[in-house]
Amino acid sequence: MISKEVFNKRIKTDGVNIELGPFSFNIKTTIPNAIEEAYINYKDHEFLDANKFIDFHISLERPKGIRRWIKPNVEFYFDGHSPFKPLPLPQAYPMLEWGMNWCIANYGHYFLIIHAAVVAKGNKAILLPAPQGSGKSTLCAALVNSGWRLFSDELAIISLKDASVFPCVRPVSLKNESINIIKSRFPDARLMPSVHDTTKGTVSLMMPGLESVKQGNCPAKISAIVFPKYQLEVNGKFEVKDKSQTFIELIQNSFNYHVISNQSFNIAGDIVESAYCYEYIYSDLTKAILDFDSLVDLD
Amino acid sequence: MMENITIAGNLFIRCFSDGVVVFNGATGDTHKLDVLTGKILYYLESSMSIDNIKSTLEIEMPEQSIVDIDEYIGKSLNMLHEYSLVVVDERRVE
Repeated sequence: MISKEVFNKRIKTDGVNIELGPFSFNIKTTIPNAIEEAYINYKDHEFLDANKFIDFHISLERPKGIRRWIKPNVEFYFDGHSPFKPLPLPQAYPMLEWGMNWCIANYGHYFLIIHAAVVAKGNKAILLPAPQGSGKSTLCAALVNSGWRLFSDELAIISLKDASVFPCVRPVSLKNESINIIKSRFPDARLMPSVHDTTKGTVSLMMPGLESVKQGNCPAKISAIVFPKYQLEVNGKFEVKDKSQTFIELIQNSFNYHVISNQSFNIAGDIVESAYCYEYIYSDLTKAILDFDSLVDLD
Repeated sequence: MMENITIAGNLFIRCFSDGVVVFNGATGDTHKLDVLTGKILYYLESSMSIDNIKSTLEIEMPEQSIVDIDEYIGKSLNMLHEYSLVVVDERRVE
């Protein structure tokens, strides 16, 4: 584990080189709360030497001029360019995480990238593709606090060679009501302080568990694709979903299907063909955890 | 009247038990087709003539009348044409 002193010094000067699954990031910033939260979230990850090739060079910077002092802002930079509008300074750390997602989704074209949470037990991974507001991250957080290994709560990174899914172990982004749901259901879950008034409402990032981080380079086979949806007062149940429809919804959730076209068509087809495909409407996390545990026993 | 059918180039077809998906490499579009339409596209891609497809479907779907099969093929060709997966060119033959 890297010491806080070394981490702080590096991130303020040359940047820290962090390996996240198949990608590597060089992260630079001098913003104190972003440094603090980056250290808490990434201290157990693999750090790369300065001479290693880095995929993404990113930084968080405070703008010069009046916005440095009045309603202070923060800007995200990727290779020296700022692809987003500045955000209020208290949103610095979430902005770093969103920016990292953006880098992978826009440039990780050696993989098929799908907007989905991914969790695994043993060598069996489950993809949870769903739009924002479906309860995907809440379910993902509940599962990883119940013995499942976290791959990602946002991005399924799928090999174009063998359709296996790679971990990219980073914090789970909990929003609004789901923050208190997870806090009260899992008092040991380690959540960052809530950040209010973001475009997604109130956001709190949940740290990944050490076991997930340790296995951050071990891909798994996708054994099921489950489209989750939170709904009040329903008895959680898996409903088998048509494979052809699953295929269409899977590619609709992809960031780069259209970029890698026929190769991604073949890979998405292989995944759907070999995986169980379900819809899962749930309201009770305890039942959901039991139901998902039963998926591991499927051949 | 006869139909001249041309298949779009660079098609990728994946058949599932409940439907077929097809990627058109020329347009970059992906479409979901019902099983029968997917099957007809698959046969057309294997250079089968419409007459051969008709007789094959008659064997595969003995419960359907020839009129129904003709109707299915007509509807499927319309759909495939709409999706630019085939070009159906109707020519009047003297």
